[in-house]
Amino acid sequence: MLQDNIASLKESFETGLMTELREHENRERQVVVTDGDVQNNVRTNSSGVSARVGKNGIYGFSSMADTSIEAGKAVLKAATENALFMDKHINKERILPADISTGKEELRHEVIDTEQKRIVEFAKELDAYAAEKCKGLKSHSIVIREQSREKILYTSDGYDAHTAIPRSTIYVRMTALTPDGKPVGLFSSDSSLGNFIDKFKDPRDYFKLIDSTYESIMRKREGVYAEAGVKTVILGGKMAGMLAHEAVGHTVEADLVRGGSVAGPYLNKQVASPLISLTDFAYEAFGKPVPLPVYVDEEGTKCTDCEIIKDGILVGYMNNRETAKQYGQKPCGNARAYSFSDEPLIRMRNTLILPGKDKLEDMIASTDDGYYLVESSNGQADYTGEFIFGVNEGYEIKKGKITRPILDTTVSGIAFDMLKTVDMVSDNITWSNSGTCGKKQPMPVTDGGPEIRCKITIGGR
Amino acid sequence: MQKIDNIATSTLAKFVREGVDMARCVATLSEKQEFNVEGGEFSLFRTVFNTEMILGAYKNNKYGKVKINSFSDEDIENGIRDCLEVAEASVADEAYDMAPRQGEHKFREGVDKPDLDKFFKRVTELLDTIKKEYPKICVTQSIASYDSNHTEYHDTNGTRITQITGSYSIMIAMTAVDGDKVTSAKYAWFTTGDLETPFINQANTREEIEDTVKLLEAKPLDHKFTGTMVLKGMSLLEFVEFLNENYLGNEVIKNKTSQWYGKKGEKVADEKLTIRVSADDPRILDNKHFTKDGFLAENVDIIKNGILENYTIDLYTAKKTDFEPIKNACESLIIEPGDIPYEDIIKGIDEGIVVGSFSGGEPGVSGEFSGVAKNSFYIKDGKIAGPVSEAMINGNLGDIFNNIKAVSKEVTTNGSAIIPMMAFNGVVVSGK
Repeated sequence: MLQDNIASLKESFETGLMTELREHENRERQVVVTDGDVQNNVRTNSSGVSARVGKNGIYGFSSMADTSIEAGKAVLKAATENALFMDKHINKERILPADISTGKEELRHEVIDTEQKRIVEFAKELDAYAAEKCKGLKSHSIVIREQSREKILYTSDGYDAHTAIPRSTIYVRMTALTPDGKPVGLFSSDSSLGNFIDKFKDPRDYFKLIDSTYESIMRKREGVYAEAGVKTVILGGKMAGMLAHEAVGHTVEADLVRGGSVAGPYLNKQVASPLISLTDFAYEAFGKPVPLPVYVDEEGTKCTDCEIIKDGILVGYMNNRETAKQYGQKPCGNARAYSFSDEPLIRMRNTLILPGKDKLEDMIASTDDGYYLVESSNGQADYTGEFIFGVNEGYEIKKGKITRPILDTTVSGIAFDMLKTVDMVSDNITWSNSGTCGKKQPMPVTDGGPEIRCKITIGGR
Repeated sequence: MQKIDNIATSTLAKFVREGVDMARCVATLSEKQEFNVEGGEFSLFRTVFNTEMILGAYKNNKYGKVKINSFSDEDIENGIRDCLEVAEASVADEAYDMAPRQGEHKFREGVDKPDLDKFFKRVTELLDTIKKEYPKICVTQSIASYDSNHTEYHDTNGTRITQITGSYSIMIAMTAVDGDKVTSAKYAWFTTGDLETPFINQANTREEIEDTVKLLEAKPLDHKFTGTMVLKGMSLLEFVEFLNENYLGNEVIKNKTSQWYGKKGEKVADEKLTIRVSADDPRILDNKHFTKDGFLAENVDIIKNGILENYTIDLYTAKKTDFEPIKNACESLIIEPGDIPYEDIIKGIDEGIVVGSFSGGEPGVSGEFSGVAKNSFYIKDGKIAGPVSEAMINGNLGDIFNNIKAVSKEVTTNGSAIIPMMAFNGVVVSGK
């Protein structure tokens, strides 16, 4: 556990300046076993202290790779000097940050180190099982990753906090050849909040993940190309989550709204079917913990859920304190920093399309000709809401029944156009827990949703 | 604090005392001075001092690696202990190895000490120029930083490489906005040591800004055709990276799923294609002088006139496959220019598309790619007819690199890569 070396420095925060002082440690353990070979076997520790100081709405930041009190003093001094430099040189209309409540958040999750040997042995056992059971593959890999971010935060006018978020993930990747010798790939993952040692107790519990991945890739070997064009598609929960994050979420990050994102003029307007509601959850959803709880952000804002779309209407953005003031909204704790040397940026947390009332089986049964798309390989979108996702696993729907698997393809569209075509939303949700978002800094995020039926452009050749 | 080279030396000595067969220590001291801009206005001045140490230990044909970011005696001792435990946990494999002795070398490149006042003035001037000359451009985000790094690579085979670098870098993320019309995000990026030339006139910054403004008039492509795709700047770099990952790199060579497996020395691409990685090109400001395996970096041809000369594999994969490892960190890419002016390439195209950036599914080992051609311009009868939106491009990586129509004589040099424009035949372009 991170030792608090900086508590006494809070007394030295200068009056009239907005100050955040943070001691922060990230850890990562990774093991990759491919076809019996240990290809990657590494432990990473990164820690330090940083300060951000605001003066009249402009900021200075400094960090050092040292968690001592002396380093804390040094970064406070340097960040203050940087803020004063900017205040002196920049003549602009300044927006002062929104007021937030004060308080203290105590540690809820503890980071527990796992011996590397245990992780390696776990991966080797899964690899051995795949080698024995999964005949006819070209290659298979087991990747185990344990990450944690722990911080101690002191702020001049917000929450002080000690938080830790450990996350552990197993990825299974397989490659096989089609009957005419072309390689096809598939991956699946199982990820959850917690330390490896707590979450992954017995490799045998994950044999079923290997079995299901193997079954899917052997079916995919016989897959067909999807027919290109605008089609009726049921997006699985993970695909809906990617849509929520990439195509909608980024356009409603208030710094990007300020930068001209398409969502700017749409506030309080219909942007989706009335069946669609979307929320970025802080630490609980539907009375249960979310996969990646965030309790206090790096500006010291106590986290709350951020409602973005309600019954098809765009009702809010994700903000930091400054943009919240600018747009007259409440900051919900979306200002997150990845490592000790990073400043807080507006980021998503647990972004979810809310479930509806339909049953998946009814959605499939009522689709005459379409596709059921389960797993995405990657996704990209931009400020215009134009998105494209790779589809790693999907199936044809013919006359209300799932039929043949399809080979890798893409789906694309404009988010706020496509969401208006949604006519059915299932009553269950699937979280995708293993994602890392890139926006200057990496950031662990989760997203998810129910199955949604919509019209979407599916790629082809 | 001790000098960084002494820290690396004493760390290796500790490994030796622990009885390792081989070990390496890569220690880096870095400093960053960074100005951040949001919505066209300065928002933050960031100063970062960091240390990083990568430790690698080989014992009984096992290998372990640990990364820490502290040079304190206690943290290094813990790091060494961790590294030995990681190695012990591994599986014995004769393919774990380190480069033989490469000798002692020192490299010092770029800007020793930053002139932050002048740098700040140049960044301010850039933002003011954009506001004045291109009022429809919205600088969503800009990051302007001075970065310096002092790295010591030491290993027990006797290799000692010192690398000291310093450079300024500018990244602009922008859109053009006109009423309700918004363009896709577009990026301009370069690394430089030059504070004498205004930033708007460096690399292809002005061209990227002007293209962004033109994209406000983009119209959806309304038909489908098979024609010529022109890749320029970052879009060509992106396709070469796809090629590297799916045809040349560690994973696909080790598991033999690359379609170019076993084709070293054979013609795999059009003879107009030459791709090299640099060790000492003066146009590159951050040449990396050693590989993670401990090889002194050399200039290496990956593909020369269409012939596959080298895979981009590390020593581990090389020993698993009996191919040669690449003696370059593969971070500084040079694509050889051709001898045709860009304008003449466009004149020779009946129907095609200039792709500013590609947004799509990652191709995978089959090489099939499909995605949106973002920030793109339609070509008809030898002329740029205008910007287009919602155009999809489809093809196969291996096929298009065998079907190169032309390579431009002009190159974009952004301090990290040298890239011409390249035209490919046989790409399917489809509109709404």
